[in-house]
Amino acid sequence: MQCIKGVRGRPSPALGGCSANKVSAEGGLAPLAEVLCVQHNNLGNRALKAGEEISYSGKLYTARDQAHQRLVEAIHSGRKLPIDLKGSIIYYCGPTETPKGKIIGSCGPTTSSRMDSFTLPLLKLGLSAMIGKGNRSPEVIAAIRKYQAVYFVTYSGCGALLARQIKKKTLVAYADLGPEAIYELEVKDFPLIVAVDSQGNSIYEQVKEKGLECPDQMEEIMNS
Amino acid sequence: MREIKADKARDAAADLAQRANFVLRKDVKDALRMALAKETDQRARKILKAIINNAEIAKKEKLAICQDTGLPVVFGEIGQDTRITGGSLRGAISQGLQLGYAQGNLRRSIVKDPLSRGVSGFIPAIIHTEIVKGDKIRLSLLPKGFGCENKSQIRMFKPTASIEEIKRFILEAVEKAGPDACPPFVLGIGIGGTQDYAAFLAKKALLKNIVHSSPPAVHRLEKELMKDINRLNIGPMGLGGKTTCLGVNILSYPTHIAGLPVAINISCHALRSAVKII
Repeated sequence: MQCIKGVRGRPSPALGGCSANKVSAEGGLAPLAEVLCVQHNNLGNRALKAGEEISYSGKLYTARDQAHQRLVEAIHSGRKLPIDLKGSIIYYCGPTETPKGKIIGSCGPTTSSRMDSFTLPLLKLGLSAMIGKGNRSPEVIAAIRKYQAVYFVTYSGCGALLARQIKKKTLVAYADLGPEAIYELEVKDFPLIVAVDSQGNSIYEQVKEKGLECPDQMEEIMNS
Repeated sequence: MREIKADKARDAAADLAQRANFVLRKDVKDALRMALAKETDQRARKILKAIINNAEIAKKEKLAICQDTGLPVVFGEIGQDTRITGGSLRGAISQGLQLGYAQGNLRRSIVKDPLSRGVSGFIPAIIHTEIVKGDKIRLSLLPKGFGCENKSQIRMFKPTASIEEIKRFILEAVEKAGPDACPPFVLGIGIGGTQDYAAFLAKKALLKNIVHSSPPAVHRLEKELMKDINRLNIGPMGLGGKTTCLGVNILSYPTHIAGLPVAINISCHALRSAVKII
């Protein structure tokens, strides 16, 4: 069992010392840590629901296309991974160069669907959450459900705004990839929206249902 | 014949790299504010506010508006009465972009080889040049992010295709782009010419001010598309709302009797460009 410091059990190396608070309309604060803890008990992550907004403080790993390809190649060839995926969160992000005197440059999310074909092996190894932008494939959504993970989105095209929430940046692996290297980020009050919850509910389905008051929107628009 | 030193083009390109990436275009910012005033969906409003706030932080802190500082696309209108001295214009522009991107701490997003990839850098850029009248050089830089570039499309219609068919193609392209391409979008549309020229026009159309004048038929199409797209309920970040499109910019050109090329170049809400006249 993997658990989060401050809740119970052994602290997760990747999420050590993290805390996160729900800031949903429901009011009251519940730690994300508890949610992730529940998840690793295989009880199902019932606290986080698609559409909910939370604010996360803790650690993340950045990884995008090339880093994913390398991680998956390493898994397939049985090599040791440069990061412990168990309980970790991957942020699909390739930041700009870091200006002098700053912790990080602009650092918003990149399109998640490009990582779909690499995601299953990572979830299998215990990846607990992903952060990006846009929808995921049905296979990834099914795997999120199977492995009781979560997929978040954050403000896309707002890299300057999000940079303010990063408190520390450390290069972890694949330095030659430049912006695509894996960095460990320590974030504070990082805004997240649950896009796919561990039950496989998707925010995009909710949006579609809400928007589809007529059965075929496109037809209706074209014929009006 | 007016002599222009290549160094001037270099300095202009360096300045454009930072200006385009740090300062959101005024027309885009105005369109965002107008959208916010009309938007009723609470989440959409929150995201629009974040986008506007992001632009303010970027400008103030000299940070890139978006971490994807794009593939730099340069449009150079070269006056035929100019002569470049002290080096090549193309070389000077590349050098300037390299300098501007490096000094601005932008992102190394360009790989030298599309197949073998390799280590990424700031350049090469794509440099389009057109010969125009006059003795000036007008350089425009459009750093194009690939979240939205990946969703751009082109179709070769039959010459007898209806406006409805064209509209449907564009609406479907926008729907496909969905949340991945960072809505609300600005659409650049190229109609006519050849396949490659329509694609060029679609990209170039993104340089136009969102508020612009067009020939009557084009203007009508722009207005209709804008209205229809904003009914798709894609919304900011694809999470619903009235704000899916901030503007539709169409450029058209004569074409062949056998064809009707239509290209759509989708821009995310962070539509960045800057212009300098030398």
